[in-house]
Amino acid sequence: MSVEDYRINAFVRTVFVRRWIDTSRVDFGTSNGVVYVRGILRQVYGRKQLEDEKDEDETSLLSLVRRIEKEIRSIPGVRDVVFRLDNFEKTGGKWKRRIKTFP
Amino acid sequence: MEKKDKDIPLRSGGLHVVLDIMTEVERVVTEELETHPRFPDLQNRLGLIRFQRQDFEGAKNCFEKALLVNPKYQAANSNLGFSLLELGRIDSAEAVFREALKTERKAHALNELAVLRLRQRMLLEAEGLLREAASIEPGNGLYPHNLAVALFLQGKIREAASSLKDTATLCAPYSQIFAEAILFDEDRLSAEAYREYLNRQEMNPCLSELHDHLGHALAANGFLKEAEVEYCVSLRTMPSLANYYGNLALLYSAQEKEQEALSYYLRAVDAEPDSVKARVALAFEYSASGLATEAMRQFEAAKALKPGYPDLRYNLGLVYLELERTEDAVQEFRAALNSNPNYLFARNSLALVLFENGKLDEALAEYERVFSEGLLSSDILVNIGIIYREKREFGKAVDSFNQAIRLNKEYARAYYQLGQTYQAMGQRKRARRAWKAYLERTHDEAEAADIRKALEEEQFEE
Repeated sequence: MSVEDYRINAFVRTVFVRRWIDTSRVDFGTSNGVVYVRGILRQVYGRKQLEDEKDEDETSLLSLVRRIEKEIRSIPGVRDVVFRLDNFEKTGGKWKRRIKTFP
Repeated sequence: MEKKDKDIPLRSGGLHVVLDIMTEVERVVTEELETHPRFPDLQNRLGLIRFQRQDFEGAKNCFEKALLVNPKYQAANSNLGFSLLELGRIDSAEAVFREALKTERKAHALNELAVLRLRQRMLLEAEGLLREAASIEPGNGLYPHNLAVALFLQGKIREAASSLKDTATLCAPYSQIFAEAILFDEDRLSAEAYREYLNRQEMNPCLSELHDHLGHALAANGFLKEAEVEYCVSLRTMPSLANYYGNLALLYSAQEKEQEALSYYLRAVDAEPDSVKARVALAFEYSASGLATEAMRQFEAAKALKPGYPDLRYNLGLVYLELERTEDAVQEFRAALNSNPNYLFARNSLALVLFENGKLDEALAEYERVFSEGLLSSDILVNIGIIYREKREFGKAVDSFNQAIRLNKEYARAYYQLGQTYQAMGQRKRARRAWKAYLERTHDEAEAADIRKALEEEQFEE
């Protein structure tokens, strides 16, 4: 093991806790310095929930996802981050919300 | 039941802002339920909100929906019983509580039956039930706290006072709660103050979960002092020190005050050594600080309490890897997969360990499952490619490296391994091209120097 996966994984959890991400809805793991994040990325009850305007809500959510990606990538030892989220996707380097097609 | 006004008036720059946090939590839960109607914890949370709003019929419906999805959801069952009790359906409530007596939450179920008996003014029976609950879980302050109610209503004031003091011994912050309610005049319990205290006391301990969520909502929106107050209400509803200190640790962690957070996680474990949640949270704090041995001890203690938690076994496996206990790590990853065969992170780490220890066929089998179940990265594809190359299946190896490159064009390792594979195949031109691409992307200077030297010596002429 070239990097401390256990430590990276704990840091990822810290990133989520600091941002009040609902950790019961998102799974994450680290292998060989690559962080994998799956599930639904949402705050427990974040500031964005106080916004009335849908557009502001959207901007705020996307900015949150971007910030989280940046924070995970900046954890020492992280070589890559692979997101497989139910509610967001990154295409062409840009984050966007997925259409709601959950069961 | 407590009828608290949840409106928090906040003054800022002359504007009067009112944040009704309960409505906010309700809105978020309702919205999430529209997307995930089969999440029982959401139904339970919505039920608690309705219960708190005194809409007991609405609450009952939510708890029933939660139980339809997960009939073993004990908190929802307990909440259903309390809803039925509030609706005056005593026999149904009793049946629900009695059913819970057969579960591992027997002491809680005895407490629930005791609350029902208190309502029926069957005080002696309530006292007996609470004493039995206390004998099962002597470290839980809930039972002496409620026993005091049974004793007080029987006129046994001194015994009630003594029981309240037992509560404060078991759960230290209660000393402060009792002091603020001015319950004691020197050693004597003030009947008037205690009645007032009971008027504000919630008897359904599961409501602490709602207060936790209200606290999280306040904290997430920056109202830290108000969040702390809400966590205190949660403690007053269910005297769990591990939960209370865990909440405070979250509050500090969110402010990036990791030392304070660590101190509260330590207190949580110290207060309730059998709390898996507290031990796992402390283990993660130690892990983040690079203290692998301490993290291992906490994960191992949590594992002894709940060996079936896959997340716990997986993270313990990662710590074992750090401590170079490879066999133990493999065992933990396999244990996580036994509990949950779809736990792809454990399978991926297992595959990596097998790969790094030369067990290539086993590693490939695990990687193929990881891959087929939707977890994919350039790193995984490169490892699969290396395995194929070692098995001299060069075509499959090249395919894997090219797939890795398609997924991440900047992934230097894939170009390097592709070059190695072409070299093994005797295709020097292609090897040279792949290594050149590698040199344009790599940050590994030592490895790059070797490749550069090989290219400069023109061992691979075009």
